[in-house]
Amino acid sequence: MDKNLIVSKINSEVQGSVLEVRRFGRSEIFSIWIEAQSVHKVASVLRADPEISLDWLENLSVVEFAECLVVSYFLQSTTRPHSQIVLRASVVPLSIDAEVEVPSIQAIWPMGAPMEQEANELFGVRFKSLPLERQFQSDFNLEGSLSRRLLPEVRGFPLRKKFVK
Amino acid sequence: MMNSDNSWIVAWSDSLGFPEAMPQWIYAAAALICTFCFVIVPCGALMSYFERKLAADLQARVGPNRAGPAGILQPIADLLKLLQKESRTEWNWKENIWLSVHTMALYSTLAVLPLGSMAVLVNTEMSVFLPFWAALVLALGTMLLGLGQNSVPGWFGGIRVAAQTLAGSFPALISLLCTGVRSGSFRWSSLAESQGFSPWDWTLLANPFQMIAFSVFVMSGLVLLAIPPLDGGLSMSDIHGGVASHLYGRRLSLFQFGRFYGFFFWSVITVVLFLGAWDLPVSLVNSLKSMGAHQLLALSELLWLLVKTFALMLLIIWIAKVNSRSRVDQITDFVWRVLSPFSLAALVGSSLWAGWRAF
Amino acid sequence: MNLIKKEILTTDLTTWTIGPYHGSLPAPMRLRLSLDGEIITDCDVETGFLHRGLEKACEFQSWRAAVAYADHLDPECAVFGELVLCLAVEQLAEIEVPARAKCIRVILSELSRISSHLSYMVRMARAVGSETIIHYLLRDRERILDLFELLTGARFSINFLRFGGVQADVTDGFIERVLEVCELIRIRMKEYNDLFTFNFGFVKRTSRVAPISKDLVSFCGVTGPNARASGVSFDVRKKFPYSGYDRLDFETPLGQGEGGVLGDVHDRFLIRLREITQSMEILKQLLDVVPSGEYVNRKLAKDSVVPPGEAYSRIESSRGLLGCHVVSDGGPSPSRVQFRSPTLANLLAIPQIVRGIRIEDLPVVLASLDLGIAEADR
Repeated sequence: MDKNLIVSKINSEVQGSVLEVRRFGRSEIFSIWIEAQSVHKVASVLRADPEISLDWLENLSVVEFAECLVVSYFLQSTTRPHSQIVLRASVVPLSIDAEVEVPSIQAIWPMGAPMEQEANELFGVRFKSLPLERQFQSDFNLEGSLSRRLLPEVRGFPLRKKFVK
Repeated sequence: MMNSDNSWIVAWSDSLGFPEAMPQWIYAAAALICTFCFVIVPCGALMSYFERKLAADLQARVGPNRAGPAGILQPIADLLKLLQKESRTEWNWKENIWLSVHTMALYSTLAVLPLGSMAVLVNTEMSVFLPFWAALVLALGTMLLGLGQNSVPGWFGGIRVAAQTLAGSFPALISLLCTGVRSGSFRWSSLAESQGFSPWDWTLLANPFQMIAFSVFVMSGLVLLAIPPLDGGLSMSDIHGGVASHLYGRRLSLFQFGRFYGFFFWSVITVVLFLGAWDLPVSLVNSLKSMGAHQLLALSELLWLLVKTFALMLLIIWIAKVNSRSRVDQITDFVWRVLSPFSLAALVGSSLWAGWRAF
Repeated sequence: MNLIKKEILTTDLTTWTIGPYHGSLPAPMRLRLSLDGEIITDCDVETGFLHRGLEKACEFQSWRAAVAYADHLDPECAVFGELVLCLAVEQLAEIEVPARAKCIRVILSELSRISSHLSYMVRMARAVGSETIIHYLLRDRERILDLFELLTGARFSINFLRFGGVQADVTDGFIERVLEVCELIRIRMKEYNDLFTFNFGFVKRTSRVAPISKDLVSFCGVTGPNARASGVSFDVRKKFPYSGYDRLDFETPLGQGEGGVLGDVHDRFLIRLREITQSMEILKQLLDVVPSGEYVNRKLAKDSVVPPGEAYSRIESSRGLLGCHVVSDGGPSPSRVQFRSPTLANLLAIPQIVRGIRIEDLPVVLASLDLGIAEADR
């Protein structure tokens, strides 16, 4: 997939949100690093643009790189073959127990809801849902699914590096 | 209500050495207790053994094989284990009441259970219907047992039992009438006399309508008494046994034995109505009577009846083991839409047949 | 004064909470059902009861030991967890995998796919209360577990894959035994179809029940057999081939709506049956020409470190797309191992498809989704 096309689309819709474009690991896929607070807007561009239409959030993973929490969205298109990118944003927590906020992409990729819940619980990344109008109408709604992995008395976020019991 | 000619009582009391002037109710009570202890309970034990062995054979397993030779003592081992189980301490009056209603309704049919020409306690024009009413009371007891449990599985179990009973009783009753049309009476004795030892003399093969009536009667009986595979009210996978979900220990075994008994008496009645009752070859009966071996005759009649009953029960168990459990709405649908019209057709057809034969 | 009180019979919805342990649930989870009579009007799903901290545990172990943890990702088909981790690490460290090792990996994957689908059929049979078939299916699954035991020494947690290959070469007679088992299952499947699949009662219980529409598949991101049952042709083995699947010739079966509605429980069941046949085809093709050579990359030093970087790999597990995101900081143990499990999407679909079904169908629908709670909760 043409990375320049995607980057230019993002830049024209959401000014200055792309920080860096890099290859993901040693693979052919490109990872686009963006400003954390613009995740939702960039996501809706990627999802809605007919030339990109990345409509499937395959995986959402949070990784801790040197004090920094990196949220990676592994995106694919079900309509356009072999178009996939990794969208990434990083945030820095103020302390070990402090939550960080990233806009939620549930309204755009509903399959991300359980993954966001998990990241919230285990990494303390709070996915703040924005009161935006629902852009992608569907017959389904997402209420009613809940996953809670930790007991209520557990404090802190176990998957962070500095977590102590 | 009692059997008008008391020859069977005389025959039994003579051999057992009862004084002749005993009041009749003592005979009746003794007969009930004997039937329960020496017929029903051993049958339950045997049937549970056969069921498990049959299921094991079907399922490529061995089945019970530790207690006694080929595991034949397994039912006794089970009984001893169940008796040791502690009962729950808290007292649930609803459960107790409805469990006793359930049990009483069930065992009240003992009095009308036909087990041979010399073991028919109640032999009136109404006797065929008495087990039928008992089955309805039984369903009521089961339903209230479920509803009284204050739990969702119990409620659903109870409601499903009620729905099935309401659906199943209509075709059962109508197909019951078909047999009376053929024999001309609803007495156990005349139903048995109208048939014979040979399958060609059975009501089942008398005419095509009786065959329909037989199938309807068996199937609606399964629905009425919630016997597998039509036992949505006691389904294990979604409502944890439904009505029985809160019973355990001795109470559960009482309930389970009651369920076996319901299945058993429906099969006995089916055999008596459609499958030649206890009829042995006439020559054998005559020679036994001339020898004065009344007890032997009664025993062989009972055994022959039980052999046919077991065969029918095992056939049903076989079907239940292989097929999946049907959904309650599908069962009631099937009963109202298929079984009920067929039972009416069978009634009309067998009445016309009987009328045509009469002229 | 009006002393007559109006009595109104309220017919409210009942709520019923089942779980974490209940007969109708295939795995620990909790459902809050709103019921209108026997019809489910709404359903909340709560999961997380099987969280074992698998991803965190990997971070405390050496790279090599992380494979043993990935093995526990889904206890029922351990190969998939191991394979996806090994593929990610091999991609990250650029480790070559010999052709023979790839072949052994695919044999193991397809065998565990068959075994997992057989257990799926067992769960379906249990849900509809069909006792007899359960024993036949378990008997045949035992044959596959025997093969695992022959090759790896364990039946479930095989812990057999290594970076750059597998732990040991196939033993004598293994390939013949695999072919034998394939032939046996092929014959038995026909028997099972007669006994179970096309049994009137079973078809009655499953057809037209809880269909997953194509829209719902893309809404929830459902993958694997559940998506293919709804007619969405997505198979990782075809789209992103790994371990030499691109050299194999196999068809991706799709749901055809034989039960009446596309993607209903019956379709989901049938698709698994067809995948068993398909897996056996793959196995036959593989076993015809098992490449000779090493079963593990010998050039790889025992204490070699994984260079810093990251990689993402995906495979087609028996439940759908299983992904693994691995991050290394060059140290002796993984910096982060994250699994993408296919079950999360299926869980998301539950509230959407159970509305309007009867509670008697609930166990059937849950069993038909093939939920691997162990991999969803991790």
